[in-house]
Amino acid sequence: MAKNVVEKQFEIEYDKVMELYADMVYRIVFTITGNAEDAKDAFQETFLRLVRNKEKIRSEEHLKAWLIRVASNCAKTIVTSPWNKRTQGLETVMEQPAQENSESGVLQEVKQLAPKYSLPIYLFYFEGYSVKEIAKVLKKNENSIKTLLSRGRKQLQINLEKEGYHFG
Amino acid sequence: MQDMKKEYEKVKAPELLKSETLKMMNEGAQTVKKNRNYRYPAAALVACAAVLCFVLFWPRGVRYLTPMEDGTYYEEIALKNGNIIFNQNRVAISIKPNAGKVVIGGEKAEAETEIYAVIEEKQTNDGGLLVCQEVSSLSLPEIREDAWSNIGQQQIYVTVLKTDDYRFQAAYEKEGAAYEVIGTGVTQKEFIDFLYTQIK
Repeated sequence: MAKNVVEKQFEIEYDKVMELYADMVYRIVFTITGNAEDAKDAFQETFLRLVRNKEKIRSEEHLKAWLIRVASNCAKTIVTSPWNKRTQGLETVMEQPAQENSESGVLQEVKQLAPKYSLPIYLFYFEGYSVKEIAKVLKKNENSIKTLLSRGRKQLQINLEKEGYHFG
Repeated sequence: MQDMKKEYEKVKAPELLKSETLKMMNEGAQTVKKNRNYRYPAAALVACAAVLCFVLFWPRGVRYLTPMEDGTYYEEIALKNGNIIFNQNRVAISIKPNAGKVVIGGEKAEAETEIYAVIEEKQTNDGGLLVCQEVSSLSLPEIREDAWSNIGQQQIYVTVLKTDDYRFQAAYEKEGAAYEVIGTGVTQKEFIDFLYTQIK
């Protein structure tokens, strides 16, 4: 007998999405791009892509994973764009805004890491994702994520030691 | 790592950015919805137009007119990608090399074909040779009817022999006599130009 299953379409309320995930998306793009202006561009691009692709979202969990993946892709696109490679942002030559000055050395150093390291570190230590979950969200092998986390931590430790931090 | 977590907590999306993005999302949603409303009628319209064009233009076919050497243009022959396309009866003959399997003579040896008269012989600028000759008979291999084509009312058979120089051959019968047109070391266009002028 044919089984008729009518899947209820997952409704996306933009206000709610913005309320729940804006900070997360912003942190991801900020971690990858390393500066506020590029982060804002990637942030908007991520949410506008959501508008264009909202039919593809199946559940709340899927929405979060989708946002993480798209945000990191948008940020990476900006970071690797030829324009970005050839130019230097005003932030790097002008006085740093107050908000960024308040960042600790740790966060600054995380931002200095390559996106392939900084994103898993962010998801693991801040969002509390497990290695398995990160692998699923970023569509990578679990072992790759473990390697990235390990290398990222090592790199971060080296950078922090240079800044005068000491580890026991 | 605790430091990092605390610092991350301080990083928040600016309120202005959030509100602007939300506004754009709502506007974008409206636009996307609007576009989707037009999408299906537009697609249907394009499909109808495509079908109409197909129906209107199919009988005549797409013409790839090739200028002849005297400046006039073919009406029935078009050249495209190594094929001769005859628009009038919609038959296309591939003139890609056939490795010499198609030979004039079939069961009959080529030597038995007697040449009655050379109608025209022409040397091309690159040293190729074009010959039109009336022959006693031509025994062509068994070929499907649709492998034949026409220039005007004249049914012809065209093939290419892959020899040192590509050798184009066309065979046709006109008013009870058999004719053979041979092009050696010539281009496809030169051969078709010559063949066309002979038949017309």
